[in-house]
Amino acid sequence: MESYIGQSVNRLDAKDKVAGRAEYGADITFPGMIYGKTLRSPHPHAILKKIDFSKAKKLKGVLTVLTANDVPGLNRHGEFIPDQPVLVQVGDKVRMIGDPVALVAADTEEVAEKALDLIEVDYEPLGVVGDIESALEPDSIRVHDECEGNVCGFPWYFERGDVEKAFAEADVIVEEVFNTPRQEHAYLEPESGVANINSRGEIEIYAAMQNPSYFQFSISKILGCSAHKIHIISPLIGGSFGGKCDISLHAHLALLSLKLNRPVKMVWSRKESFLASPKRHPTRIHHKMSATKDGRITGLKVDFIMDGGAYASHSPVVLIAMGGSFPGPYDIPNIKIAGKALYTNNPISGAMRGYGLPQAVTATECQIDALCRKLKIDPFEFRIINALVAGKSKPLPYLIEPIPFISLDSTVTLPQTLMKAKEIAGSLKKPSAEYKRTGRAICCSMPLFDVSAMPVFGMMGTNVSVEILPDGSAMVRSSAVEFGQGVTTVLGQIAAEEFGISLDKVNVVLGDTRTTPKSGATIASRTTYCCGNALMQAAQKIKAILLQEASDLLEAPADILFMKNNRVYVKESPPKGISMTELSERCYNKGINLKSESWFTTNHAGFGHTFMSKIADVEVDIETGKVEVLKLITVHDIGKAINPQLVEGQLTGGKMQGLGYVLMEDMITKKGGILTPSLIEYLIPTVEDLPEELHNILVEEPYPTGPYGAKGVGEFGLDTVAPVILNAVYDAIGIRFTKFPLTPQRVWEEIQKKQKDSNGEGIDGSM
Amino acid sequence: MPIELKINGRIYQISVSPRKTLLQVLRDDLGLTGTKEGCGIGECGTCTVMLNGKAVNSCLIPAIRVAAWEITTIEGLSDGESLHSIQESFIRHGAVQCGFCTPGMIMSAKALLDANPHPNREEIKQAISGNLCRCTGYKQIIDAIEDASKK
Amino acid sequence: MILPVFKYKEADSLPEALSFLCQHKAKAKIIAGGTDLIVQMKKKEISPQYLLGLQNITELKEIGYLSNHSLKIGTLATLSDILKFPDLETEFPILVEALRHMGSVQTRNLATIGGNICNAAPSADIPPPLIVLGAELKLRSIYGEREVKIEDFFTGPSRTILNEDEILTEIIIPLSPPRSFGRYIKHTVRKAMDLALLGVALMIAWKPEGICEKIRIALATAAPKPFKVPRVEEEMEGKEINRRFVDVVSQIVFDEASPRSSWRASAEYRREMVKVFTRRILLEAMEVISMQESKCPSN
Repeated sequence: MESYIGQSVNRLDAKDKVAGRAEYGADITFPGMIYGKTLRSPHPHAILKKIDFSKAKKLKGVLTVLTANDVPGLNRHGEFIPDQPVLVQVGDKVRMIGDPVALVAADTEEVAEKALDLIEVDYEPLGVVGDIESALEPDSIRVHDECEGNVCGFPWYFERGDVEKAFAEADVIVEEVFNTPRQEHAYLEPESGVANINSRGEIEIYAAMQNPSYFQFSISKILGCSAHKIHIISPLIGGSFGGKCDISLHAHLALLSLKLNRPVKMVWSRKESFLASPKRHPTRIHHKMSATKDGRITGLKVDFIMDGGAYASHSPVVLIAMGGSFPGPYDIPNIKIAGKALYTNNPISGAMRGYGLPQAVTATECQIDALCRKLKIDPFEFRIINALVAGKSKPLPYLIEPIPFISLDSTVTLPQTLMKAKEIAGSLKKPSAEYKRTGRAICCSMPLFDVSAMPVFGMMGTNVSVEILPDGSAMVRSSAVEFGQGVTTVLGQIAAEEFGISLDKVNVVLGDTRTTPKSGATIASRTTYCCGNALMQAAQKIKAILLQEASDLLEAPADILFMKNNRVYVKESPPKGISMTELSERCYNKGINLKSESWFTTNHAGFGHTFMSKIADVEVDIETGKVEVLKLITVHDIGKAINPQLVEGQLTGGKMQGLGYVLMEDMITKKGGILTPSLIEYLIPTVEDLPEELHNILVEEPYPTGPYGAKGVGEFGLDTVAPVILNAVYDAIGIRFTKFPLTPQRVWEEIQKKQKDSNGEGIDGSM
Repeated sequence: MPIELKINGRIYQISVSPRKTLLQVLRDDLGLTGTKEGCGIGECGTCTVMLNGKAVNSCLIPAIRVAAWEITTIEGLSDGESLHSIQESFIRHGAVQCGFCTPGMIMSAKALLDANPHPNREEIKQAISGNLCRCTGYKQIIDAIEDASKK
Repeated sequence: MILPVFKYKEADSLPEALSFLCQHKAKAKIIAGGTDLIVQMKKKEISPQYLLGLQNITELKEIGYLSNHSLKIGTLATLSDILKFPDLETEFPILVEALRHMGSVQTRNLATIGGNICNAAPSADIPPPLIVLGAELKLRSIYGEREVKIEDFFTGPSRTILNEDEILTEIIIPLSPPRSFGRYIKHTVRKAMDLALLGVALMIAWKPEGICEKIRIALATAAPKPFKVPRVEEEMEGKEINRRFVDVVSQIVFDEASPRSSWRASAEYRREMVKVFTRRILLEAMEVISMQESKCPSN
């Protein structure tokens, strides 16, 4: 193969996965393994008065019952605010349905389940903070007694210019309140795992997670023991999308296993996963935007509130990410944005693909569409007029000091992606029935990817190691985890390319605190960029050593040598060379180290950016309210696609998840209880919901600091799907939806209102 | 209750409680963990196996009811290192991401192609509409099955 | 998820099954395909002492035409078996429409027609088409056999007239007359694997001159049970099929439907959709009529 970079090579983990050999948490067994179950609160808010587990303990086969008293260390976890109990203490409060109260271990899963029914718990129910509105009430019940106004962390605020003056001088202003739904990750693999005490008395936890080092650190505090005795090992992960960032069953597994000195397995049911795992934040966004009559945005003012649920999880950071995402890829002189995350007795909100951006761009892009309608300016033109331009625009304010501004240091421009999208969009279909309407819209965004590990995640850098073995094969080690995105394959391709060895000679070992260096969390669309760069640095060190050795041997200067086809050749006279096997073996015999670990960090920016444009065509049945997506086009500035098939997989998968978000997904709660606790109630798209046409266009202009020019991609397929569909629906029927998902009933109700208001005049999207 | 299960051409003589589903027997008693549990109530398709040639949810079937039936699981498709053409096609087309839905998805595809060797894309979609996938967006899966049907 | 404790009995013949039921009555529950029953048991909504399997009784799976111009479907025929039966698409398109959109391939391969009927969910897709087709059910007990019209079978959500010792053995569906048209529309949020927000089954037969000879409408999720709208037949048979006919029928169905509100959809929306889909099916019927009779029905 000429080069491994830019090739859609087969995934390195695919063979095991199609053969059914791939091992996930629930597939792991150990001799003598027992089963654990969690007793959860049925109340959204209550004082835990008493737990009586005497009957449960007497049940044959029950080995132990644990409560908060059995947590040896800190009974709290949470990456940013440690406010979540491992097990709720008697006398303390349960703050959501599903809060863990006790743990049971038994010989079989069945006995463990039965034992849960025998534990008697007394609760004193308290008033419930069921939504943003009740959390905001001046004399609202507090979810966390110490948090005034139910504010989680600190409110976030940013101001630039004079927005009130901009509004006073504006030609047009649009103002709207948006409400976004609670989205569930709905990865196909519910949480599962095994903890085991090894022969050296150390604890090993095998369970899906997105950041082994954080888990090691946090669980050591919970267990009250030193981190070096705790090993976190991630098996393959059956989907994550941000939902496996927080500690779920890991600490529970560790507690049971330590108590009994036996391997313990826990597998959550789907319902348990829905109850206890974090969700995408429901938000209420008050959004106001102004423009001049020639189409320049002059002011943006946003007040937004997020329903953070019972515990902080990632709320404090999603808040900042969301706040920073409102301006989008546009140059806006006057900005005032304020937001806060509130505690409620709802399921926890946390990290999910997009991390605050999907909600923000939904509001901004719908408002831009409204401005275009008012000004009668073509939405393409409007976005081109206002696009951020490298070197010309003011740097975008993002996050808080001391995190630097994002840098606009790539050559691709927003208009470039816009024009490309327009080029391939073709024409909008005519409606297929007299009771249907079709519409089209365009949306843009500027999603960011982490380029050095945000300090909020505890590290400003990424460690990856590479080792050439005596036979010339390579071992790559990183604590990144594989949840389907393809990190195994991308790192493999990079190593193969660097050493000129074939891909089958590369082994990529991931997500294991025993053996892999700290690569930070596998989040924020950062892994290809950060781990890729770290790997290249490490590889280059070893490469220099190998080439020096080869140079001595081949009697040719190192700078005319090249590595290809598992050999080192002399340029100009290729037959002259040495195999990697021979060369490596020689190095080992001479006592030369062929392992290198590299710490990658940047000092120029906290985030890299990409530009993205999407076009969607929809058809709306105005009698039933049913929305059908006909076409969904994405143009994405990828820098360089190291593996185009994997990039397409991220974009297509993200888009379907986005279509679910805007069309059908809503984890509906009432007084803290989930009304949609299964996959036939909480609906995610099936194959039948795939639009007729779905294209991904990659704009490839190498990003100067990316590995081979690559940028991030993981989250971006999803980002602007909601607004592009909402705006296309507006184009079709002339109704601006500020709430979604667009279930048939919701759409139908608005159509009814419009028909009433317009005295039976037609429904269409004309301006 | 002692029963005989015929799985992937092999006879297993085991004793199971009538309360155990086929899925539990496959995974817990026989160690055939390729078949996954995503919901336990027939709403996701990750537990799909073939029963007398038809795709079914193994989480909905008490194992004692299928004694003597022909059961095929994902482990029965490949022969050592040599994969079935559908499995090969899934790899080639990038139809696999996290892989958790993959075994069930492939079993649905196998049942389809056994009954209808040359399906059109609409028929492929119908055949896998009971298999949820949260990673791929399905497009590559349809491509993979279509391509496998042409081999 | 673990099933609650039960004893399993596989009956080898119908008499054996009937006497087992007679002996254990409410303590026993028949397991047909199990796709609903096992879920209910896993969720601990029911926990019968005995499960009675009938899968060895092959006669209960038979599908075939009877001499009196009707189709007999054995209670244990799976939805897939029925869909595969030759000519079903031409003879009973309305049934095919209902079956095709039920559950998933995997559940259709297990679920039986008898199970779907006896489970008596208000959202069940099979009863409305069978009601408009005029299907009859054969119920057997140790004491004998009775035949009932399917529309009389349901008494409420999950409730039917089936006695504790009875088994639904056969479904008999008369063939539709040549001048007839039927459709079942299932309205859902998601295209596949979803429950009906609403289902409308409509069957209409006409005379050559475009007069309505017979009309039957039945609804899913529009009442606590699968629901037939008798007022339509009482008032509309014998009338000319035209635009006005369509409007009147749609209005009657709207008036008669009594859906409830749930988080899935409001009663108001469901009622409106009953009207929309009734009208759509009738308009389609008018086109078919005009094509078949090669003349436009007058307005």
